[in-house]
Amino acid sequence: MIGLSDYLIVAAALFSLGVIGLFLNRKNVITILMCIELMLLAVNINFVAFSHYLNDLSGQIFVFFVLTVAACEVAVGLAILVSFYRLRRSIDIEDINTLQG
Amino acid sequence: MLETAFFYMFGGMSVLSGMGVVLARNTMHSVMFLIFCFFNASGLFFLLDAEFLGIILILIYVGAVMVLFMFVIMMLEVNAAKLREGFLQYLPLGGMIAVVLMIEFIAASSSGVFAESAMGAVTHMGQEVNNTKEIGQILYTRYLLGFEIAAIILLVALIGAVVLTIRERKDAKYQNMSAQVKVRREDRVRKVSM
Amino acid sequence: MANVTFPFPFPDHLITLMPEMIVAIMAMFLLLFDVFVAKGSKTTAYLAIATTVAAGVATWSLQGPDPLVAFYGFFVFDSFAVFSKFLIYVATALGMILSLEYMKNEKHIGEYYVLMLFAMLGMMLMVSSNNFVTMYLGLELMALCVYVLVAYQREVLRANEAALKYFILGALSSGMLLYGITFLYGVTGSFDFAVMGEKLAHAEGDATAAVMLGMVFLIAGLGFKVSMAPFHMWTPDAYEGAPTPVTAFMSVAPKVAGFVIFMRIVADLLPALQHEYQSILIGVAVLTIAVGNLAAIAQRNIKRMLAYSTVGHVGFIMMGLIAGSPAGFSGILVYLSIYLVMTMGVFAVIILMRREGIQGELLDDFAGLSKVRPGYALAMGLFMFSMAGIPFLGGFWAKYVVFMAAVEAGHLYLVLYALLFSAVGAFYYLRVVKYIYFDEERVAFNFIESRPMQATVFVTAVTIVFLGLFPDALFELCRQALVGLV
Repeated sequence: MIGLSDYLIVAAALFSLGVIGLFLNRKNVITILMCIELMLLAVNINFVAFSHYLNDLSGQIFVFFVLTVAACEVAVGLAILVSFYRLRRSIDIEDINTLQG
Repeated sequence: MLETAFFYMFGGMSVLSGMGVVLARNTMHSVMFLIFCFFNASGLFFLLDAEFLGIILILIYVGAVMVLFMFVIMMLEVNAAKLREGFLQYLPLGGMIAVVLMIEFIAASSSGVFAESAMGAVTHMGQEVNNTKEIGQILYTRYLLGFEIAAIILLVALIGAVVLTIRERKDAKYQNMSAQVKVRREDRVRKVSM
Repeated sequence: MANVTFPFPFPDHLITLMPEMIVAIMAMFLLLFDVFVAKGSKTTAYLAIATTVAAGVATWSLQGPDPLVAFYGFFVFDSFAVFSKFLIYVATALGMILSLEYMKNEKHIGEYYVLMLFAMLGMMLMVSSNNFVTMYLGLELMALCVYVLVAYQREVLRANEAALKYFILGALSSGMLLYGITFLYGVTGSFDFAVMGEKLAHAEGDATAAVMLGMVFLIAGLGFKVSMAPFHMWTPDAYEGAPTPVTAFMSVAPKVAGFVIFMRIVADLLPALQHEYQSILIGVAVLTIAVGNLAAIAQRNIKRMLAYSTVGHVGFIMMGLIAGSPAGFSGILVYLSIYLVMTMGVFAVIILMRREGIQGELLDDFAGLSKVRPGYALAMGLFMFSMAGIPFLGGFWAKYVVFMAAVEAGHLYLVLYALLFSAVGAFYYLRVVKYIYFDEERVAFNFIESRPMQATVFVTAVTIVFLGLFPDALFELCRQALVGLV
């Protein structure tokens, strides 16, 4: 039988994949954004699973807000990226070295 | 039993496509994998009686956010090969951190408090319970403040994206509203004595 | 399922949110109004500054002896929130005043002030939240505005880069914060700090792994927002790349909001885990203090130097959290107030020095300032002495109260360590004074002449001296602000 822990482990796997992705794709900002989306998806699965097993709808409401905010973040992030691309003609994050560090 | 099978299908597929997102050579393929991952996650939401969120996930994420991603990828000429330089260089470090995190996450996820015995029996909602209606009922009452803030956040994202990307083309004709508002009668109408 | 009373008691809720309503409505009004204003007009900016004043008046008129609660407990208006809101109003208003000249040549300048107002709204909601829903939404509202503000000078490459880095790390930290919240929610079944704290106090042993993971991720996510080491990587880049008034704004206001949330969480959510969070925070504080003060020495750009100096100050402020006592919390409020005044003053001087081609950002640019403008030099010297913690200026008392609170709570070694690094920090602050007073002028100065900004420098400098001589009123104010929290 499928229990709460099983859902949480799927989410944990997705979150860890997001973290690995951040390390592997250090240069590609778009993939980095997608890895962050993956992490937020893991968060959402956690919330929905807890919400179901606690029999409490507030977790689902929180997911609703997380989805809204994540969509906004993507919009702003891609806007910054487009603005950056226009100046630099590249989205290579290691090109970002005007500022050291 | 059927539920277990569906869980393994959706869960396994979402993890596999998550790997695809991370490992794909082509950014566009990553987007496709992520879309597939969202579909499967939406399946998991359905298994958890969260139909509304399952549908929202597909409508908003696949329908809007991922399309935005594709749009940006198409718009920017991305040199995929260059972006993959040093891809494997960080694999040992990243892999190590992720494995340690994964172990901790699994330890936390399978804590005794989340075991079936501790959580109490969960029954699926019957057909007469409408998830969307229930969410709506508390979203517009108890969570009204959060709902209003979310609306403002959307407005801010809109303003931010426009401010950062708007381009004033030289050949386009713009209205100068300030000048229009400031116009007085004398500027437009001249009394001519006949 | 949801026990909701109808009809919805709307007017009461809205009156409690009067300051927020004023800011939100004015921000939206200014967005439309700006279209009809001539290019280069400062009307929008002045109206935005007036809005912060109006919000302050509304907050003042609402405050009473009892805390107000609205929207089913999702919004609290207690004396703690009132005090921190005033700090946020002052920081935002000063940030706008500093922008008046600096940003006047930017296109679409109206939206700049609108975004600042929305960022302020997000912080106001944050400090009034006693649950994760309002906190998260307020935090994101603030963060989204600040990302855009950092990137506001679109044609400046370093601003874009800074915004991109800041955004990526910010989004990552939000993800971590949320992942932490999920586990705390899973264990307690609530988002309300007090309810969760109650449940955590009775949590059984087999919940430990989940609770610890949740707490660590929560601290990491929030630590990013207030730039604690090792989550401070974005700070120098974002500070350097952002337009200087935005740097001033973001080095103060989000820190205030972040620490206020930290205090609420420590006081309401984590009392049962005092031992665990204290040991984490001590480790982070040790690292933060060292990184901030050591890295600042190597910087040639004053904005980067101030970024690391902020990290150092954050480390000192954390000592109040570690103390966890009312004295520690009121010490944090004292520190934040004085830090606000000093930082705004320093940035005002930096902006006044902006000239063609040179932005007054390198330390060398300050050489010989005392001979040309003794007034600015004196103010800058005062701010630097104050930041270094030289008695008897404001900054001395800020350090004094948090250090005393930490000693009382039994963290003597930590305080000795902080004192040591405080002495190291004095080196790079005093180095600026050396440039100003003992070096020869290298590049001709050419100052921005702006009355509001000169007034800002004057007022902040006088305040620092005044607080150094008479700190008791501020201490008392901060002590009273805590009534009801601890």
